[in-house]
Amino acid sequence: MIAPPRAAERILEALGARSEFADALLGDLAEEYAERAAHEGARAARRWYWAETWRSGPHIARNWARGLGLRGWRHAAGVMASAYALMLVTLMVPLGLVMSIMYAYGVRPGPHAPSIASVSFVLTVGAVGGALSGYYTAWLERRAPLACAAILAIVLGAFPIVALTANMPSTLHGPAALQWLQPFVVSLSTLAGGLLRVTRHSEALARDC
Amino acid sequence: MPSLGPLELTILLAVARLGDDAHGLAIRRDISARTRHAYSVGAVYTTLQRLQDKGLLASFTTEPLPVRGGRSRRQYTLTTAGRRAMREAERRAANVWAGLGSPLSPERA
Repeated sequence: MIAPPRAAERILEALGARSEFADALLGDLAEEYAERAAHEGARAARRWYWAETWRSGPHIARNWARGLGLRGWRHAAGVMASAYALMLVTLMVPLGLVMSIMYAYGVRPGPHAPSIASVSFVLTVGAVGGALSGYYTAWLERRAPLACAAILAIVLGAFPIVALTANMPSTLHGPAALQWLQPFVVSLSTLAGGLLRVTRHSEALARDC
Repeated sequence: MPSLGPLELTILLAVARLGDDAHGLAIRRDISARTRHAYSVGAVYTTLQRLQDKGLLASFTTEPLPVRGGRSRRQYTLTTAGRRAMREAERRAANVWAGLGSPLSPERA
């Protein structure tokens, strides 16, 4: 039997499906994958499997979130807060280094209007911070690592929206308007960090087996 | 009596129709063919899980199968509450549709 893409399987498992359902769900997908691979070829079957993974993901994650009680939400919030704190600690060292180099060359952020360079710097820091937060969340959470990273992606994306809305209309013109990319950059990179952790873990599992 | 959504009712009907062959893949194929909508495996399984939580379906696992990569199948059966919920849904639908036979006939359309 041709094995379905392990990374896609791992993504589905990481969204928090109950173990007894996850086994049946992955079994169904594996059965249909084998049928499609025999009739349509391995490439078409793989494409179908990945499409089915992205279509099913939101249903499974929503079901996981619905089933969380107060205790479950408290646990998820704890994981996300710990991951965020870990990201701050990790990011502070290289960021401090970059800032000291900038200061050494006389580049000092001031109260002036944001330039394209400063906005790009903020976006980069946001992307790296988001990716680290997502990765750490997926690392700390055992049952639903990717679902937890997805919630953190929504939360972290909401912060810049609040800040930018509060500073309107100055954030609507010139390079400052580029800051509206921040919520998308942070959310997508957080999700990407979570995905990276989950799929890398699957490769490690495959090597161990 | 728990309320039923459209997909929940469709899946209950599929389980009743398929009988001993009511497992996830067969249910998904049956409802997709009948509704002409390709439901994702996630949508079907989360609904099956919800129906089981409501006590309308019961399930058991089969032996692991090589064709499924060593994973087992989950077979579904209707519970008494599930049959009652289906009858109730049928009665409600009949009440809502009562008297609309002739306005929907082709010659009046």
